[in-house]
Amino acid sequence: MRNVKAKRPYPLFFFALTLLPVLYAYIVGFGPFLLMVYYSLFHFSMGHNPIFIGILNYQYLLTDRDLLNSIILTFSYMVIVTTCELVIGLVIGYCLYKVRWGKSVFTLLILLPMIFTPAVTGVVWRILLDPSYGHINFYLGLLGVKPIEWLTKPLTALISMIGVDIWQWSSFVVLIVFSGLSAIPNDPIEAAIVDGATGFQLFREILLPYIKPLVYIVIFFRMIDSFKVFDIPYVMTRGGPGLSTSFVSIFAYNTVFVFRDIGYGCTIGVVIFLIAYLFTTVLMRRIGSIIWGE
Amino acid sequence: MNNQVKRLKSNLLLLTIYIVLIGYTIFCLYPIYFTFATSLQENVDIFKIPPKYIFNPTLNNYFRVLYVYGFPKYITNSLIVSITAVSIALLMGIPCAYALARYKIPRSKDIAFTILSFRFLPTIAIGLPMYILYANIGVYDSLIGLILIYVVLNLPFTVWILRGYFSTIPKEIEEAGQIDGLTPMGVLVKVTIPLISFGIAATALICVILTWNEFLLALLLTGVNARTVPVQAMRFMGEISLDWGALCAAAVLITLPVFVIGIILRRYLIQGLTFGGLKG
Repeated sequence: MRNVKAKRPYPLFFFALTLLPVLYAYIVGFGPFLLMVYYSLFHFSMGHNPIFIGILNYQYLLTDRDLLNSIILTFSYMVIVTTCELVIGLVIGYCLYKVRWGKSVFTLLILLPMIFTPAVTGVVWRILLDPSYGHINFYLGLLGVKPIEWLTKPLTALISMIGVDIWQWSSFVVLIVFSGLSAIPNDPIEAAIVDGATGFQLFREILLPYIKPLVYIVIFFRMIDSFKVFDIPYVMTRGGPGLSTSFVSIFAYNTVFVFRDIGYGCTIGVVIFLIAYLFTTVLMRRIGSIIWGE
Repeated sequence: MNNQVKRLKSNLLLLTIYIVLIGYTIFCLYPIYFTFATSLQENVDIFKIPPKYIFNPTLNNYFRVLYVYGFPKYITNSLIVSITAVSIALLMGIPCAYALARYKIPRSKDIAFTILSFRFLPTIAIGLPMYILYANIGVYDSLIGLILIYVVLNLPFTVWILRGYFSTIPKEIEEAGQIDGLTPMGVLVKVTIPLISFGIAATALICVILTWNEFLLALLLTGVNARTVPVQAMRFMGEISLDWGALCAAAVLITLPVFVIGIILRRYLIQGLTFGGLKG
C-alpha cells in the first residue's frame, strides 16, 4: 500500500541539502565574527602588529561616553524613523486603498524611492541640501526661510538623516499597508455596510484587526534595518559634524578607518552584534509568530 | 437633503485623499525627477537659481561619466558580482527550500529561522573582520571575495521566498512524476522547478536589486579593482564634487536597471522584502 503523506523517503539526502546553506552561512558569515572577537582582545593599530591585552578594550568600552551617545543616538533614530514612517505609511496606504482610479499608477510611482540605491540617495540628497544651490533651500527661500546649512550643523544634519530615511522607506510601509488592506476579503465589509455601519465603525471594527499585523510587520523590519543604518549617513556626512550623525555602524567604521584602531573597532563590533542579537531575538519572539505564523 | 450632504462629504473626502496621495507622490518623485533632469543639463544650467525647468537637454554628462571617468568598469563589476552571487544563492537555496517545504526535516523551523537571521545581522559585524581576513589572505579587492559574502546575504531570500512557492505546488503532480520513475531529485528538477520558474526568476531579480544596491561590504572589501557602482558613486562625489551633471548621470546609470527590474516585478517586491511574510 503506497503511503501518500508529506513525509517522503530519502530524507537524509535532502536533509543534507538543507544544511548546506546553513553551513555556508555559518562559515562565511559567522566565522569572521569569531575572528572579530579574537581581535577585540588585542591592541591592534593599523599598520602595527597586534598586542594581546585581554579584556582591556572592553573595560575601556564601558567608560566610552562617545560610544554610549552613539548607541542612544541610534536607538532614538530607530524609534523616530519607525514611528514617522509607520504614521505616514498608514495614512498614505489607506488613501491608496480607498481610491478607485489610479492605484497602479500611484503604486508604481511610490515604490521608486525604496529601490533607489541608498548610496546614490545620499549623493542626490546631498546635492539637494546644498546650502547655496540646493533645491530644498530654494523652495524654503520662497517661503521666506533663510538658507539652512543642512549638513554642516549637528541638529540639521541629524534632521536630514531622519528626513532622507523617511523619504526612502515610508514607501515600503505604504506598500505593506496597501497590500495588507487589499488582501482583506470583501464579505465582512459588505455585510457590515448592509447592516448599516458608518465609515468610522467600519474602520474600527473591520479594518483595525487587519491593520494590527501589518503594524507589527513594519515595526519588525524597520527597527531591525534602521539599527544597521550606514549608507546614507556615511555618504552624506561621514558621521559628522562631530559625532552628531555617528550611528553605531558608522562609529565602528570610523574607529577602524579614521582612528586606525582595529582592536577597539572589533570590540565595538562585538558589542554591536550582541545588542542587535538581543533586540532581534526579542522582536522575533514577540512578532515573528505573527508575521510568519509559525 | 441628507443624502446630498452625505454625497458632498464623501466627495470632499475623496478629493482630500487624492490631494494627499498626489502630494506624497510628488514628494517621492521630486528627487528622482531632479536626478534625471540634472543628468541631462549642462552644468551652467544646473547652478542657476531659480532652477531651470525647461532647458536644452544634453548627453555630455553621460559622455563624461562613461568615457572620461571610466564608469563602465564599475558597472561590469556590479553586474558580475550581483549575477554570480545570486546564482550561487539560488543553487544552494532551491534544494534547501524544497526540502524544507516538502519533507519533514528535523528542526526545520530552526534551520529556516537561522538562515533568516543572517539577514538581520548588523553588516558591520561581519564586514570589519572580513576586511581583516581578506587583507591577510589576499582576497581583498577581488570580485570573488565580494561574491562569497554576498551569497550569505542572499540565502535568506532565496530559501524563504522559494519555500513559500514550493509549498503551493500540489503533491499530486510530484507523485505523478514519481510514478513515472523519477527520483526525488529528478522530480524536483524536471517537474517542480519548471512549475515555479517564474517565481524563481522574480526572486532572483529581487536579490539582484538588493545585491546591486549594497554599499557597506563593497566599501569595506574593495579597492580600485573590484569596486562596485554604489561605492564609486560616493567616490565620484569626492572626486568631481562640483560636476553635478556627471554625478546625476552616474546616478541614473546606477539606478535605471534597478528601476526597470523593480517596476516589472512590482507585485513581488513586498513579498520579497518581507521574506514571504506578506503576500504582495
